[in-house]
Amino acid sequence: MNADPQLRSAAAVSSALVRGEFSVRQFVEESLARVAAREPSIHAFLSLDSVAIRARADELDAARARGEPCGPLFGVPVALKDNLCMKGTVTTAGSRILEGWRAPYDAHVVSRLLDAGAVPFGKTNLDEFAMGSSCENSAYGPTRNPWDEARVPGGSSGGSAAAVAAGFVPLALGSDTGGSIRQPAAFCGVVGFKPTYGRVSRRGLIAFASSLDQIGPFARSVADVRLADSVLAGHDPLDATSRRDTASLRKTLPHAKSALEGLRIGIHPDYVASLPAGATREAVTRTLDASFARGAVAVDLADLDLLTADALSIYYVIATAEASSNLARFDGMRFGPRVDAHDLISTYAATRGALFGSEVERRIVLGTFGLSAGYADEWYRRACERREALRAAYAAAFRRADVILGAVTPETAFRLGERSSDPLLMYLSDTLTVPASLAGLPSASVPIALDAAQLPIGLQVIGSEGADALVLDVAEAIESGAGFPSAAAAGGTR
Amino acid sequence: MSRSEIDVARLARLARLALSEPTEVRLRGDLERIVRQFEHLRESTRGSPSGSIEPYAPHTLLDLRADEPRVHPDRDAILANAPRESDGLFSVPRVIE
Repeated sequence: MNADPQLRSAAAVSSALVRGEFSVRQFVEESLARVAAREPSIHAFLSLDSVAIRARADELDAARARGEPCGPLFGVPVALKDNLCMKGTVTTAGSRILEGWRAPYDAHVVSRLLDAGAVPFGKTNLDEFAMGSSCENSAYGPTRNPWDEARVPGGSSGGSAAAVAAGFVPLALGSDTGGSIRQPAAFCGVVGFKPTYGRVSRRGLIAFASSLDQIGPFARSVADVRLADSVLAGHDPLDATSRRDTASLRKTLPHAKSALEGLRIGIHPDYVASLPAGATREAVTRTLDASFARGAVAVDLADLDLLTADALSIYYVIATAEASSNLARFDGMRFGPRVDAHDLISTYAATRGALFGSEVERRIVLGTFGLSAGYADEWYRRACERREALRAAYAAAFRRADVILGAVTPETAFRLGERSSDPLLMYLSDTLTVPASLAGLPSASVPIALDAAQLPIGLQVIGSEGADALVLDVAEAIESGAGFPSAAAAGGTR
Repeated sequence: MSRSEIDVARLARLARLALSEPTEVRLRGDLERIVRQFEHLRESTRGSPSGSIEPYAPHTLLDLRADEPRVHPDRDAILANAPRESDGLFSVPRVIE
């Protein structure tokens, strides 16, 4: 256990608070002090309402004093990506078009966190409407990576990943459309998890691409991610894509000692051997070899078309098409500021043109292109067909393997500004994460090593639809073998 | 596809986006590069036969609620976000001449 109480696991913090080792109020005061010291250089948060945080802490302390039952996240500060609605809280999605907008209700995940006794702790920075891989597309300035402040934290959930890596909070929520939890988790040396599509309700998540968006947790350990997942997952009648069978999906391995014993690990060259030579490929290969030494069995999936250049194209056609439709609601009539023009239609256009950032504009126009008359069949429909073929290829892979392991990103965190002028280069950051998104599969990123520049490297664990528990068991076994210093960027030791 | 096929001004009109001329020029360049990169998708003949795909969340069966009227619990909170509001309604530019 870490000597610094602020760097303990969420589970340890919660049990210490339940035991009365210290009060929730004392704990959040120390968290706020830690944020005050380093947030000016990290910029993980878009808003942090210390008054509301203290009030929630006092409410929990009072409830405990009255002998009321304490939830599984009792007193645990949880940061929320700023595309998640929390009633009465300004929720911008990193965009000027939602500047000052106060959510009129709680997202399903926020209700669940509150029921579990958590303390919502700030709204974190993101690429505008979750569109980006570096957190540089936020209208409110970039977040910096706690491991090296000259580098990006990844995106789009960069603020949440950085908040956990910097030790501001033990848990944070993000959303993952094409890698927006896993890639920043890898860049920031924390654990990130995208559940099976439909396992966690999307109600109250500001939509980017509805058939891909999924909410998930960040933490400094797999155990904490599992704890958060047990709180977040469950059916919600107000999300039509929410699954009813989330409880039955929690299958575990029949292995007694380690999740790796007898585990069939699927290996595909696109996730490992075809990576550019360097620290990431070496670290992933080393981790795979260590897993085989611990009893796992390699299954060669090279004959399957699991990734290819196609996945990225399919993803960007579908995601931008859905985004162009989802973002049509932001027109200056019901939310945020309005830019007046001479009639209704030109007011829509003036508001959107003035208040959307350049990446959002690019994706809306690209999505409109893919859906426009004469192109929809060739682009959008074809992409949907290819998506089904990709899903079938993954289903075939999981008839032979229990999990697929590989890299999360081809390289470690890049420098701020290094890719921001080249959208295609930025999109390539998502190459290894979009397939699991397109196929709706559970996928975790777990830190395994540091490169020569002391930047974290993540390993991706992909499971079959519904095998969320297995993915986390495998990630935990890998975590225990890797010995990654997950609290190092926060000034602590593991 | 020839480059001239991408009519950014038309797409911007469809998307209700007022773009400055420099932005339009930049977006045209970006789109040409991106579309060129994705061109192989259009030429691909693999996958399931055309016409078999639902256009939304193809792998998910939508679990729809009964179509019954419900009242949002907090009308005031929603209206408080309106750029313009009058008499408990969103106020918008005149639509009918």
